[in-house]
Amino acid sequence: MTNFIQHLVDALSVGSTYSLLALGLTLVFGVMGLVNFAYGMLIVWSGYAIGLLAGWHVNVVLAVVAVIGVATFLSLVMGEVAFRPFRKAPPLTLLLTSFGVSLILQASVRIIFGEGFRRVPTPSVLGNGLHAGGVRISVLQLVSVGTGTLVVLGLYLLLQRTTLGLQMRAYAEDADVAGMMGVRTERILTAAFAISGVIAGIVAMIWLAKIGTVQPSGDLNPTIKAFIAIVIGGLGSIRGAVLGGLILGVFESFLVAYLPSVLLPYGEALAFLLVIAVLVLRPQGVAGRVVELSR
Amino acid sequence: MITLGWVRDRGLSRGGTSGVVIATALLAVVGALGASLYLVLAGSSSYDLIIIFGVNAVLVVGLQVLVGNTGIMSFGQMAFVSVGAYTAGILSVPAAQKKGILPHLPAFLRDHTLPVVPTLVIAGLAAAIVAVIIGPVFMRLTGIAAGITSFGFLVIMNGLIRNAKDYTRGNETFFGVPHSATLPVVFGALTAVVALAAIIKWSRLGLRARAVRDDPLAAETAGISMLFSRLWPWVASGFISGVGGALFAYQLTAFSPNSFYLAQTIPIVVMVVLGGANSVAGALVGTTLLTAWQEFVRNLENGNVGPLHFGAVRGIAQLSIGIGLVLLLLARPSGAIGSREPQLSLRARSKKVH
Repeated sequence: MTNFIQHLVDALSVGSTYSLLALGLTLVFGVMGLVNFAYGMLIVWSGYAIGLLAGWHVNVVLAVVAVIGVATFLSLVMGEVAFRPFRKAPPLTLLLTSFGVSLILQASVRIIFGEGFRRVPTPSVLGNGLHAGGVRISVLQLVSVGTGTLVVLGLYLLLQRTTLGLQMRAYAEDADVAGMMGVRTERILTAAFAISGVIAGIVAMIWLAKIGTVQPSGDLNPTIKAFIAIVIGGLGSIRGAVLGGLILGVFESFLVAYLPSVLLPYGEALAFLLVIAVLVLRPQGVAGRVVELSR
Repeated sequence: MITLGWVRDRGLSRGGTSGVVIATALLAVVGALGASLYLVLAGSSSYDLIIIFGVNAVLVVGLQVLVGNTGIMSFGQMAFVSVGAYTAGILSVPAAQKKGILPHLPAFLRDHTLPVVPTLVIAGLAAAIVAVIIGPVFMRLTGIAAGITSFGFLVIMNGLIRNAKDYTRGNETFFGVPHSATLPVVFGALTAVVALAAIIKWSRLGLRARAVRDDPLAAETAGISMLFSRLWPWVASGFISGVGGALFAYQLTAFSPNSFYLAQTIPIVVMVVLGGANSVAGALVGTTLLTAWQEFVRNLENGNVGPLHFGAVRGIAQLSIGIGLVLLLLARPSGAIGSREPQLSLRARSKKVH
């Protein structure tokens, strides 16, 4: 039983990080139909930013703000320069464009910082653990679950309780009609990329604190996790992203715990098997918002 | 009078298969002449480059058969390529070395070695069988969903290869494959593959698939099965990519599961889009353009441009391909030659191109 609770705690911690990753991705998809493959590069860039800031001995609070700033700035640049011209393009063209953007961002990391690993310094307090009845919870796990909850709550309030949120939802529903109703549509994309960038900055710090290093190709893993999560939950749905992330977290943690060791190396393959099953059997995802996947 | 014209794949313009076969043969001859001329002019150091071009072209045609006929973009072609490469590897490592490299292989595989041509065919068939197995699932999806699923297919296949240690050496390097990627082998295979792609395109199968691509609802109303019309191009794509994988193995001679992953997928996708995803000839154009560009930028990265020498800068190649891809999609999403195909016809006038 203790074991089970331990696995559940781990699953919740991993799952909340996946949910955050998925949120940033699904927000932009909801607004413009873009599955942004370059999203993970925001995390890589944040990692190098953390490294630089730590090298300059910047105060932790300031550093957190600065990292979020870097990710938001990059996300905005990406949105305005690369993706805005494509806002009327079919989703597949958008996906291909995001491949191009991710190549650009990755190549610039290579050119500026070089190829190898870099350590991402984290405050040592995150490594401390709390023990309660045989279950170990690290501060980092608490922080990631706490941050996840706060971000989801904040995003929910933003989308449901503010004018901007209402406009974004209207735009996602029908961009043309929203424009006729007086929504300044050109601002919606900017807002979506800004929020996506803020979330990327936040999740970057948690993700990097967990793995401890960053390298130019470090975007693939978080991007894939976010992809899986949004597909399981349902593309373009906020609720789906949260659920999808948590489901993926539970799936992975319990897979490691209870799978016969012969099958262990197939962990990622099994996750994708789940994804394919969802796409074929329930293309609208677990959360059930119907979206047009194949325009 | 023989005229060379352009045909598009829109509407009812169905090109004649004979014309395609003639055009393909012409292409092979011109290609071989061009390659020989280039060898004479640029010296034998560019032999490798021509081989790389040929292998890439087979892989790109493999993807084009799928994208051009069904409109479905696959990011999982490297799964087929890996099946083809490992199949070719197992079949063609000399029997004497095989005992050391793959000691746990079943006896009939361990004690026999096949020559090049049967190996290429079997490698293609192995990948085609994989395509038949996964096809009924994959072909239900289009657009983004298909893209993600095809990538999932790649991840799953990669996991299987990493773990089938008796056959693939798992994560360790598979080596000992003879260097059989010679000019005749590669370009013979390329010619055959281009002919196959062209025949499929202008056949009834291809026409049906493109009808579904352009308007699934109308096509189904006309009695065309969406699933089966897409299945054939998918299986053909698997076969061609498997053959390409075998050639890839012959060119590399040593490889590991990492040789068949996302990093190798993106150039193939870019080549297809660059030339024109709806055209077989476009696949060749795209391969030519990007292979030439990659070679140029590779020299640039190493700090050599003609007589100039400067410090090496890593990442320029990737940067240029990224920027190029975005600009291409913005300026000309249909690629260099769109959906046009060269067509030889024996009539007095070639068909008008609109």
